[in-house]
Amino acid sequence: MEELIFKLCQSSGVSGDEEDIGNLVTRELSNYAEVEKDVNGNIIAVMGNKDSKYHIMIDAHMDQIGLVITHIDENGFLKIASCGGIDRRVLAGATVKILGREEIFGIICCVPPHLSSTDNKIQAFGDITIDTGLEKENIEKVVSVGDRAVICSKGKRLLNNIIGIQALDNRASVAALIRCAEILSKDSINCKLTIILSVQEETSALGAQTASFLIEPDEAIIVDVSFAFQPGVPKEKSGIMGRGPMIGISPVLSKKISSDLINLSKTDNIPYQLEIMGGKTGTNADSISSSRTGIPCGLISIPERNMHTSVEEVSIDDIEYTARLLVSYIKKKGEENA
Amino acid sequence: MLDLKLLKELCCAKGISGDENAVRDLIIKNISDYVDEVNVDSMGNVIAFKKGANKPKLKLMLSAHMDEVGFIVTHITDDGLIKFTEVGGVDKQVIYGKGVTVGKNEIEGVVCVKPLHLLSSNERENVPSIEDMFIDIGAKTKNQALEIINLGDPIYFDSIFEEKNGVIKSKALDDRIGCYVLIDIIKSDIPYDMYFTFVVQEEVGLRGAKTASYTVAPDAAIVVEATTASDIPGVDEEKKVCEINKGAVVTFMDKRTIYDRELYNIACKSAENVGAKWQTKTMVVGGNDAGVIQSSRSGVKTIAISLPCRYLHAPVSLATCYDLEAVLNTVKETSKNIAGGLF
Repeated sequence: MEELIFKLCQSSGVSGDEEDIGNLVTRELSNYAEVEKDVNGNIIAVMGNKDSKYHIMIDAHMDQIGLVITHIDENGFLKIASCGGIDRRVLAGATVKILGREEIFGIICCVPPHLSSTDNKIQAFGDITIDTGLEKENIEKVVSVGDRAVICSKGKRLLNNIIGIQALDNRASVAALIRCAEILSKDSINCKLTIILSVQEETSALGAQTASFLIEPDEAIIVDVSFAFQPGVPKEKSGIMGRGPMIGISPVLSKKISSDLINLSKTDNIPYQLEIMGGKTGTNADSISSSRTGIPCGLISIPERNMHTSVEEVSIDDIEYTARLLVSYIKKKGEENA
Repeated sequence: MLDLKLLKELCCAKGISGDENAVRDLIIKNISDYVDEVNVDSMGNVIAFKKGANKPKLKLMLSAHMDEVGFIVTHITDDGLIKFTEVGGVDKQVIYGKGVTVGKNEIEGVVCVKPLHLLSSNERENVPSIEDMFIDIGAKTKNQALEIINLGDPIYFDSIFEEKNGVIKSKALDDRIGCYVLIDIIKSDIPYDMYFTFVVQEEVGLRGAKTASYTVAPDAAIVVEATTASDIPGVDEEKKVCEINKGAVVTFMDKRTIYDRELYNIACKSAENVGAKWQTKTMVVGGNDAGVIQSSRSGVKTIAISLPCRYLHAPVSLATCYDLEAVLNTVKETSKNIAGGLF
C-alpha cells in the first residue's frame, strides 16, 4: 500500500495536465476492471454486474495543485501563476520540478531580508519567480510557457504509519479506490460499479461534473481529504489522523447514505469519525449531487495535515479503512438491489 | 576539471554549527595523504600544514568554514510536536512547509502548515514567525517523540544536489565550496609552505576562526567563502551585490572587515594573471571569518575571495561551475603571490 501511495504521489498531474497520473491509474485499475478515458481525461473503470439496474459511482479526483509557467524573462527567470489553491507562504526558497520537455529543478527566488523592501510580506503571484540558473536561450530549449511545475518533495515515512509527501490531496483517495477495486475483484458484486478518477477538481470540478453526467449513476460516493487536527486547526473542524475516515454530513449530501455509512462502520468494526458541514462540502460532491436530475451523494474524507503543501500528511491506516468501508457499502447496496 | 563527486560529498554532509563531525571526518579523510601535519584543536577546527617547494616570505593561512545553518530541537509539546530555533541566520520566509530530518538517525519530519483554507487575510499575507511553527514527525505524544529524538538534536532541510549545464544546486554551498577549494589546493603541488584551516561555528559568530588563527599565528590570510548574489528579480540594480557567471568575488569591505588594500590588489591582479574573471561586491553587506582573523594577535593581513551564490540561507542555493573554477584559480594564484611575497 505504501509503495502504491508513493508511486501515485510522485506521478505528476497538475490540474489540466493529468496524463501521467491518468496513465498510472489506468495501468493499476486494468488489473481489476475495464478502463477508459473520457473526453476531458477522466479515467473511468467499470466492474461488477454490468447488467444490473443498480449503478453506483465512486469518485476521487486525481489532479493536484501546482504552478504554471506564464512568462520567461530576458534573463531566463520564469514567472508563474497558481494552478489550484497553492499556499504562497510555502513557496519562498522551495525547490520545484519543472515539467518541461525534460524535467529540470528550479528554486523559487527569495530576496534576502536585508535587501527586501517588503519585509515580512508574502510575495504576490506576479512577483514570484523560478530560477533555474539557465540563460533565456537555454531555458527556452526545455521549458515553454504553459508548462506545469510542482514543488519537489520526497516521500517521508513518519511515526505511527503516517506518510508525508506532496499530492496526498487527493492521491490518498485514489489509492483507497484502487485498493477497493482490488478487494472487490476477488469477490462478486451484484450491482454495477463505476470508478471515476476525475480531472480538474482543484480548479473547477470540471471532471466530476461531466463524468457524472456521462455515467448517470443511481448514487455516488465521493472520496477526498479533509482537515486533520493540528496547531491552528479547530477541533470542531477536523478529524484525527489514524482514527478512520470522516463520514460527511451536510445539506448537500444524502442523509440516507450518510447514515448507512455510519451503520456499516459500526457493524463491520471500521473506525470512523464524523465531519459536519453547514452547506457545500468543497468537494466534487457539490457538483455531482446536482448533475442532471440530481444524484444522491455520500462523502468520505481522509484526515490530512498541511493541506495544499508539498508536505501533506495522511495515515496509511485511514486509507485502508476507507477502502474497507467502500467495499462494505458497495457489497451491501448490491445485495439490497439484486 | 572540478571533482563533482567530492563537492557533492562535502555539500551533502550534515554539519550545523557545533555539530561539524561528519564534515570534519570527510575533510581529514581527503587531505591526510597530502599534508605534512594535521591537527584538530579543542574547538574542533582542522588545522593542516603542507610543505611547498620553497620557504614562504609570508606565513599564509587559507581558511574555510565547515559549519552550515540549520535548526536545533528546543522543546517537544504534549502532542509530540517539535519546537525549534535557528542555528545561524536562516531566512525565516523559507522555513514554512519544508521537509526536514531530525537528529543523527535522520528522523523524517515536516514543518507544519495551517491550511490555507482556514487563514485570515492577515495570516495569508505575512511570513509566519518561527515561534508559531512546529515540526511533525508523526509522534502522538511527547514520550513517543522522546524515544527517538533528543532536545538539542540538529535539524536539516531536505535538499538536492544537482550539477547540470554548469549550474550547481545544493544545500550548504556556504561554505563547503570553500572547503572544496582548500582540499583541491592541498592535493596539488604548492609553491610555498602554507597552513590550511577548516573552521567551526562561523554561522554563530565567527568562533572557530578566532582560535584557529591564534594557533596558526599567520602573517596573512585568505578566507574562501560563498557570498550572496542577489541578481534576481525583485532586487534593484544597485542592490545585486554580485552576480553569478561574473567570476570570483574579491571584496574590499563588508560589515565586519575592511580588507587589506595591498592583498585586495594582489587578488585582483592574480585573477587577471590566470585569466579568471573577477568582480567585487557592490554593497557593504555580510561578513565572514576575516573579521576575527584580521584582529587575531597583533593583526593579520586578510583578504576574502568568494563564490557568488544565490539563496545562501535557504534549503537549496545556486552557483555555477564557471565561477567556482574562477575562485579556485584566483585563490591558487593569490596564495602563491602572497606566500612568495611577489608584490
